[in-house]
Amino acid sequence: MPRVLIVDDAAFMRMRSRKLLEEHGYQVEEAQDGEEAVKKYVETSPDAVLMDITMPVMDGIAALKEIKKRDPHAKVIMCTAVGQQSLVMEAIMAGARDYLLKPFDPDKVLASLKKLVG
Amino acid sequence: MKEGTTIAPTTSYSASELETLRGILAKGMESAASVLSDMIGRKIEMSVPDVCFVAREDISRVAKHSVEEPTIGVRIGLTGDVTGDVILIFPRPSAYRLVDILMGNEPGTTTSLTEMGGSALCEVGNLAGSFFLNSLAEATGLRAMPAPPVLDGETLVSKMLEASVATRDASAGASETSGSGPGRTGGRDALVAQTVLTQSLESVEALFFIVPTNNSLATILNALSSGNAKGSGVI
Repeated sequence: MPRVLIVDDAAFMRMRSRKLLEEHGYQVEEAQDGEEAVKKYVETSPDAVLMDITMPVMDGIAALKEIKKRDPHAKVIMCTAVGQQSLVMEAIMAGARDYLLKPFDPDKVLASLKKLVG
Repeated sequence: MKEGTTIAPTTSYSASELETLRGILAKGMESAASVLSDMIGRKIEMSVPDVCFVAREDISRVAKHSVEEPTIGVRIGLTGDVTGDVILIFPRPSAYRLVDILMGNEPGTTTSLTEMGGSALCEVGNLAGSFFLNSLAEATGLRAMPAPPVLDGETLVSKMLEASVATRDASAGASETSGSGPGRTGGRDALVAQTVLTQSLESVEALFFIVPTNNSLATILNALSSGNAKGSGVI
């Protein structure tokens, strides 16, 4: 069963993502900010990460960079409402494997995860 | 909601500059309203945005449609090239109905604001703020980020606007209070863009404000005049 780390400061979004992923056979871990995401990534080595960008403590781009330092092969999908081209480029350059624009589209999330981890 | 007090606008911007700012802010608000429609799966109507400068001391009376009873507010700070606030204010019944829609509950289920309900409203604010900035980036090439949303479960329209301007005053420092800074209003005036979002079928209503800092207004105008938008945009 593929394991996915959901990173979002909004409990509402974590709940929606968890429900969707568990219904489709994924095992889910959660983190509510970038710092916790890095810690949980190291502890649990998930198959993929679904990462928001706008978060307190450590934002999603910083967390992505920290995770890639520790695991260059990490599969991180950015899932955010911020779609400014310069930010997308920064995320891709930092190693993000996909960039999904909110509002949350279940089909796009599942398709992206399937492509990365099956 | 009822009509608020009319405030005489004040500004040292030219009519064409003010019209440009009005257009940019209105487009950003339309983009935000559109994504909120997508989020809840129902069409949201938006009143024609009203954009004007008001004197600092009039900020508490600026709302064209005010709500006298305590409301639920979500405030999203903007950081980067453009600073200020995006504010969404919901009368309580509207907030509860919106939470029911977002959580997939039967209408009338939500009768008080839970942590999860508050988080859902914050996500609405996050989307509104982000898509406003996405639209602004597309038009100007400027890069700005929304801060994590802050929820106030017991507020007034006037209180939220006063808090926004107080934050602006505190963070702007000398650049906006010298009287000769790029804002050209000497820090005495604030630009407020406002509209009303309505979902008629579910009787959901929200006030939507954008309160950019005066320095940001100059930045936006400069970006437009120098053609920074070329090659920028959103995905």
